Amino acid sequence: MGRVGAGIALLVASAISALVAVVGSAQVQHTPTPNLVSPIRFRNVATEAGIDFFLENSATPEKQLIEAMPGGVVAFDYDGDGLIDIFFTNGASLPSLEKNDPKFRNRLYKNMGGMRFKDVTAEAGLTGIGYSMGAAAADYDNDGHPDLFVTGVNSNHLYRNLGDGTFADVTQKAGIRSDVWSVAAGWFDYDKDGRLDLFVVNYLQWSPGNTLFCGDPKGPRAYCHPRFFSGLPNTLYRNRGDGTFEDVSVRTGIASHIGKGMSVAFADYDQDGFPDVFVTNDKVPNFLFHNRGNGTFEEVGLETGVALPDHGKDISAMGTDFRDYDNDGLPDIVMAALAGETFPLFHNEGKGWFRDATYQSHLGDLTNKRSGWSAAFVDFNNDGWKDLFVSGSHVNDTVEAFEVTPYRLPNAVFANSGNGTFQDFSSAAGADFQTPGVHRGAAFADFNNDGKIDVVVSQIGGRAELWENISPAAKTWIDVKLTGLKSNYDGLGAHVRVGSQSNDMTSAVGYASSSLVPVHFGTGSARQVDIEIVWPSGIRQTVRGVPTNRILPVREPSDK
Amino acid sequence: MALATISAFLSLLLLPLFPQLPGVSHCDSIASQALRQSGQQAVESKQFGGAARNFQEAFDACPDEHSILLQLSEVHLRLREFDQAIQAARQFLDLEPASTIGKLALANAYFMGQRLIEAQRQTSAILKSDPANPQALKLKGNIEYLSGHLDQAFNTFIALLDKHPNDEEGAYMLGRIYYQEGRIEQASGQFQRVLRINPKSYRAFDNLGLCYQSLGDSEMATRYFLTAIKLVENDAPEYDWAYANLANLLLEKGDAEKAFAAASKAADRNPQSARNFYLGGKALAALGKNDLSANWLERSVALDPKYPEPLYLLTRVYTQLGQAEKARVALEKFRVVKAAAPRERK
Repeated sequence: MGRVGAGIALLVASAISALVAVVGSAQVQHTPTPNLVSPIRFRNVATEAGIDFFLENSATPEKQLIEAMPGGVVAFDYDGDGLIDIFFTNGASLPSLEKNDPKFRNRLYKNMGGMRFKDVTAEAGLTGIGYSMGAAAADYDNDGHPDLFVTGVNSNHLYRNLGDGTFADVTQKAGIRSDVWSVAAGWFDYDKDGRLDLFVVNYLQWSPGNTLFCGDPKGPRAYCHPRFFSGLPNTLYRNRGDGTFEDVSVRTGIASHIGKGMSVAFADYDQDGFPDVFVTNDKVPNFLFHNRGNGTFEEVGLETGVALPDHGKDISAMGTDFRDYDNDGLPDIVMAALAGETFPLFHNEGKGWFRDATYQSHLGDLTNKRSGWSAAFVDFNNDGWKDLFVSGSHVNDTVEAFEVTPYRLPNAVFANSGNGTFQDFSSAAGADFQTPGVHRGAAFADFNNDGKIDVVVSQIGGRAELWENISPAAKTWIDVKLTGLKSNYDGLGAHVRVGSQSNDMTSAVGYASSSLVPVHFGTGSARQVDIEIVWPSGIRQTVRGVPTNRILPVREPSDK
Repeated sequence: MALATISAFLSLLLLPLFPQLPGVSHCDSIASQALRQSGQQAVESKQFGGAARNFQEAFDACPDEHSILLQLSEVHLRLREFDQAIQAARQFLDLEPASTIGKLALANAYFMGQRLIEAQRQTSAILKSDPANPQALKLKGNIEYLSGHLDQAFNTFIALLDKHPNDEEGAYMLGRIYYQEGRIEQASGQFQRVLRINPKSYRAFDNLGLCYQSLGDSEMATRYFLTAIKLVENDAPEYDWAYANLANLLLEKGDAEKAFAAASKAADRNPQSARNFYLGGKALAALGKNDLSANWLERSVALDPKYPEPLYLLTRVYTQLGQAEKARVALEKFRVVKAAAPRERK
């Protein structure tokens, strides 16, 4: 036995005595985590609020895969009244893929204040076309009015916000293609020219004529595993600044990588000043596109350790968030997945790579039996630590015939303990929070401007849920509402620090969803805070002595 | 189906197939008898290569002693030399065409070699003349399962247990199939049945641990793994699975220190298991002991170069150690191995 062998022998000998303690123990021992975290509570106020959206997927006996995949949710202030509005994508008839019934319309709800909403879809011109999937909001033309991009099955649409409460479908004029199944999208300024570019996440090659049978021939039919379909490259559109976009997927290297994309999130993981792109893939390794800063990307998912969990097996990676959960200033990655896969968490080590922190954070144990779609790091109890929300459901409505795992699931919320670990607060989050459903997209915003982030969740075959955050702790908060000048108007890509906390301005979060809202910080008991902003332009800005419990508008300074 | 699953099934069939092998019979050749005895001793000490040579020489010395060929076939199976195993079983059947044991040996060799159609044909021939033959029924059920005919496999095992309600191995195999298919409650039922037949079945306790782990009941899973460990501690020194399964559970619970202890014990019991070294390396990585983790993972990869999990973790560990070139090489190997790995069935 060589050096390695000798080392192993020594370890085995020393470990055997330790095992006696294991064998003698009747229970698995956990390092106790003091339950000092402030409670998180929600109540579903969708009915009182006037949110009556039902996500219609046109379920068929043939189990067409697209039925399992809608639908995205957007939180954005489309009319600039300071109240965050809600947009839902919706399905269509099958196999026609047409919205030939009012029930298939996408839906825009205007926030009337006081947690009351009004359906303004028709007047806004957002009823939609085709079988919609996801959506992404941002002000791509820097006119101060947030626009909307809606993905779908062979049917992507760009809606320009005209600033008068209406939107115009400018897809063709903008040069956006609609020839594949796109699930999600996100806005970011990859070339730092101050104009937002569009990343479109494409899923599988699929057509309505697909009649592949999956499941038990004598029993229930099931949605087919993605391996039965070919994957697709993603699409990157560069914003030319004249209302049109250029497909730069090939030139930038994005098109060189075939995946089965589910969601996208952006952050500058290596702190080189250029935003990088993380794409979750379904049962193939995830992508991390490192922005080289010269207009091209290199895919470094495996090299950086975020393509797969440490076990090296493919998972059904769903929605994601790319944000700093441990306040070390570096964006980390979390994603939802299916039962048995956990919700993997990758901690950014700051050396150009990530560490799989799923089990060390306790998320592995807490999530191994769960299935989820939208994942997001949000500080719900305003204690200064971002918690994790995941919308719950399995993908396959007949899964219970094949596996010991439920299809309908409640949503889940995991409180950040502030020491690198999480606690499952779901069961204490409220009576109606325990209600299982077929949850999909989710968006996160303070809909009633009370300083606590609420959640809106879509539900296949059911009424959308609006989770008002009623967490009891009286903590302070601050929301930083950015307006870019040299940078893009929304300030997407800005890095914001408040005390020891950091967060990024992004609207790409969750599954097929988008939250274009101010950057939120829970500030515990602080009465005032200092705020540091690094704008996408590179301009650094500091605002000192800002009183908490307010939405702070910050305009980008005109010079460095 | 994952390769590991297939291997697990195949290994189940090794032991029970020839429980009534005739002992050393009248043979004129003293040399043959001595060689055969040496072969049996080599089997006991797991020196299968030497055993194969001994049995071959024993048969050559005394070709009238046909049953040596069955022993030869079995050690070839242990060496995963399936063609030679098939050849030895065929040779036996040529000499004793009516032998059911010979037919079973050939069917089993085909099965182990994943030549499922031929295995099916042989098994059907046995069952035609002996429809209740328990070994043949078990083979049939496993062949059906590996062929993807789930319902037929279940029916075969249920029929077997109707005819042989105390067939411990049959109940265990049915439990394993239920477990593999995610039918955990039915799997638990079969493992409980095994325990009614044999209250000291450590494999049943071990698998009940897996069932409870699947159901998310870590406490019960731990209890069952520990019960299995207590049973094998002295009575089955080669059984490492309970330790490895406990290590895996402890890793899921975030208790890397105890996971390492359990994985170490598993590796001590079975130093040829790549999984045991992978679990140990994984625990060490979780403990931040990357140097040691690399050693364990390298050992795992050396034991099974086609096992993707340790290769991938090795890339992560090398990266954390700042060994970029080693990480790059390991990643390339991982890409190749992963691309060649069998896909999951579901």
